[in-house]
Amino acid sequence: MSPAPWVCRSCIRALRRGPVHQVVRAISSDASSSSNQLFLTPALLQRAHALVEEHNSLQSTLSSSFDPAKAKRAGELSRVATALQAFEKAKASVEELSSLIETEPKSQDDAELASIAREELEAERASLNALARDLGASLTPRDAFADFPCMIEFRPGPGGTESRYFTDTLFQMYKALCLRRGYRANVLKYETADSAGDKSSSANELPLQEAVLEVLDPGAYDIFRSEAGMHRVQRIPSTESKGRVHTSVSAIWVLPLFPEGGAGGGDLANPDDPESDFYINPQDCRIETMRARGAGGQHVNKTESAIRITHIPTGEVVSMQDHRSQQRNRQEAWKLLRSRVADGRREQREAEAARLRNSVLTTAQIHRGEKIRTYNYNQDRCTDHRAGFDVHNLPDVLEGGETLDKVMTAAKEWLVGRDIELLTLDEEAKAAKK
Amino acid sequence: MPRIAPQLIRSALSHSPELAALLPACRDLNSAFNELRWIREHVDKTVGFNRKRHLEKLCQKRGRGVPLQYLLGTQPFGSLNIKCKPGVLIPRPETEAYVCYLQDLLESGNLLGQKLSELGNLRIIDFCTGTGCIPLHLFSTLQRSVRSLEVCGVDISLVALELAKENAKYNVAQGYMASSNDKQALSFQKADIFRDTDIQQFTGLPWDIMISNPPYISRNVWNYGRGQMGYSTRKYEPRLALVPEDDMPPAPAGLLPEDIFYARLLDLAQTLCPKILLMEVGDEKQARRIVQYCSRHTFCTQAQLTVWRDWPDVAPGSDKNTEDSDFTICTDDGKRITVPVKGSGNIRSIVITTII
Repeated sequence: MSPAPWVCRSCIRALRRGPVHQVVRAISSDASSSSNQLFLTPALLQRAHALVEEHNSLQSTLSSSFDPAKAKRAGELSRVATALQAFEKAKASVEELSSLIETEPKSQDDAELASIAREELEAERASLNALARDLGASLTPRDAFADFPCMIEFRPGPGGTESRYFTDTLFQMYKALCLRRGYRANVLKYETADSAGDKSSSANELPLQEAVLEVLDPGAYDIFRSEAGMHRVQRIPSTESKGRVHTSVSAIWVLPLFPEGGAGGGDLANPDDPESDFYINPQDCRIETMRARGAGGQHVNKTESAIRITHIPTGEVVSMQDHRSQQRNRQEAWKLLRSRVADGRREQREAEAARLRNSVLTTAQIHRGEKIRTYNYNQDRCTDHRAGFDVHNLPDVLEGGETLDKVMTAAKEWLVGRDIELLTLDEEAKAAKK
Repeated sequence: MPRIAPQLIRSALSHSPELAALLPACRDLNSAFNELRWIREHVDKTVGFNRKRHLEKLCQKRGRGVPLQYLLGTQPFGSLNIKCKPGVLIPRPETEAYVCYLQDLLESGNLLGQKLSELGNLRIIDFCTGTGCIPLHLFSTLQRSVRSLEVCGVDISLVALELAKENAKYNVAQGYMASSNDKQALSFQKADIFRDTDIQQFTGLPWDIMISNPPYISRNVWNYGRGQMGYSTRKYEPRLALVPEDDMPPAPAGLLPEDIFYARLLDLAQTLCPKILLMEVGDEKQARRIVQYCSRHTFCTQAQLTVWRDWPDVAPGSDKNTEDSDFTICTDDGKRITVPVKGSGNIRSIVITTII
C-alpha cells in the first residue's frame, strides 16, 4: 500500500468543503417579458372581430362595385380574417375536447375516448397558441416601409481601431448573407479610416469608417428591420499585446430605401410629394463640392468627385466620394439622405406614439443606443439580447451562414411579440378611456 | 508645385507602395486612396493574370502624371461612359455640371419658354466636341422627351471625331442610350470653324441650341504655367484642344489672342441663329472681356446674358464674399451693364439667350 500523497493544507480544506458550484452568469437580456405564452386579451379579440366585420362588409360592397381604395383595404384585412378564422376553429375544437374530458365517463369507451382527447388537447392547445400569435401579428399595424428595399448602414462605435475592424467583419457578414440568400445587394459606400498607420488586421479586416450596403429586393426593410441597433463584440483584438479581452460596439442602422422607378410602396412612394416621408425640400439642403483650387476647367484634370449634402433642419450630413462621376455621387448621396430623413421621421412617429401610451411601456421601445447583440469570440457565442437567444458556432454566423438565419429569426420573432404587446396595451388603454 | 511632405509619403508607404506611387499626382492621401481603389477595380475587371504587377505599373504611370482617364480608358459623364484616348481632351467635371444643368433647364422648359414634350423638334450643335461628351449626353437624355431630335458634334481633329463616333457606338452597345434613327439623329462632322466653306454645310436650317467648349488657354499660361496649368494636362493632353494657335486670324479690339474662338463663335451664331448659345470660358477676366465684346456684337443686341459658375445648380457656399450674384462691366459708350451670375465656384460659362 502506497502512502497517501502529501496534500497541502489549503487543498484539504477545499476538498472538505465539497464540490464548488460554479456561478454561471445569466445572459443579460430584457426578453423575459416576451415569453412564448401570449394571451390574446379580450380587447384584442374585439378589435379582430370588428376588423373582420369591416372586411366582410367591404367584400359585399366590392362584389357589386369595384373601388381600388376599398379593394386595397380589404386585401389588408383579409390577413386578419383568415387568421381569425383559423383561431376560432382551433378554439372551438379545444373547447369541444375539454368538454369531452370534463364529462363523467359513463362507460369503458368514454374513458378511453377521454384519454385520447387529453392527448389531442395538448397538441391543439399548442397550435392554438401559435394561431393566437398569428392573429396578434396580423392585427399589428404593418410597418409603413415593410415592402421597401433597404439600406444597411455600418458605423463603428467609440473604441478606436478595434471597433472599426469589427464593423468591417459585420459588413462582410451581411454582404455574405445577401449573397447566400440571393438578394440584389450593392455597396453604396465603403470608406476606411485613412489616418496614418492604419493597416488591415491579421483577420484581413480594414479599419472601416462608414459603409452603406443597399439591398434592392422589395421587402428587404422588413427582413433587416430587426437587425438595427448596437452590436457588441468581445474578443482579443489583434492589436492587443497582453491578451486581454476588449469590448467594443458597432452601430447598424437599417434605413428604408425609396424604391427606384416608383415601383411598390403606395401613397408615400413619390419622393417629390411633400407628404411623403422621403420628401426633402432642396431649399433645406446645402450642397458642397470639392472647392476648386486655382483655375479649374481645361487647365487641370481633377479626379476628385466628392460631394457633401447637409440637410439643415435635421442636421444630417451625407458625403459621398466612391464613384468617379460627381453626378453619380450626387445621386447616391441624395438617395442616402432621403433614406436617413425618412427613417428619422419614422422614429419620430414611433416616439410620439410611445408618448401617447402608458409610461410603463417605454421599456419595450428600442432606444438607438441599446445593445442588441453580442458576438463573443472566446466563448464562440452569438447572443441576441432582446430575444434572449443564444447560438454557438460563431464562425458560421460571421460568414453569414445558416446560424445567422436562426439569430435573425429569433430577433424577428421578438419584434413581432413586442408589436403584439404594444397593440394589446394600446387596445386596453382605448377600452379604459371608453 | 510644393513638395510632398515626407510624413505623407511615409504614411502612404505604410499602407502600400502603390499608394505612395500615386502621391506625386494626387497630392493628398484621400484622393490617392480613391484613385488606388478605382485602378484596382479596373485591374480586377480587365486583367486575368499577374494583377499585382499590372496594378503596380498603372500606379507608377499615374504617379508620373498620366491622366487617370487615359489609364482606365473611360470617364463617366452624366449617365454615360465616355472613352478617352491620348490626343483628345478628357471631359471635365465642370463641363458635365453645366451640360446637366442645361439639360434640366431644357426639360423643365425654363429656358426655351415651353416644355420639351410640347416642342416638336430640337436641333443642337456642338463645336469643338472632342470626345463627343456634350452631344452624346444631350442626345441620350433628350431622346425620351423630344420626338424629332438632331444633334451634331463638330471638330477639326480626326482623332477626336474617330473617338466621338466610337463613343456613340460604345454607349449604344452598353445600353446607356438608344441608337439614332431617322427621327432622332446624332452625327459628327469634321469642320474648321474658321473656314467659311466648312461652315456652309450647317447653314441650311436654324439650330436651336449652340454649345461650345473651345480652346481658351493663353499661350503665356500654357508655356509658363502661372500657377494655373496642371502638370498632367500640360504634359499629356493635346495642345490643339486647349490653346488657340498662331495661324488664326488676329483678335478683334478688346479681346486677347486666347479669346479668338469666342469672336468667331458669335459670328457663327449670327448665321446659325440659335435660341441659346452656351460657351465655356477660362476665368472671370476672360468672361468680362467676352461679355464686353458681346455688348458690341450684333448677335447680342436682342439677347439676354447670364454667366454660370462651376456648379450652376448649387447655391453660393460659405465664401459668399467671393461669389457675387452678378457682375458689372462698362461698355465702350460708357453704359454700365449688370450680368447675373449663377451658382457656386469659379466663373465657367456664358449663356446667351435670344429673346424671341
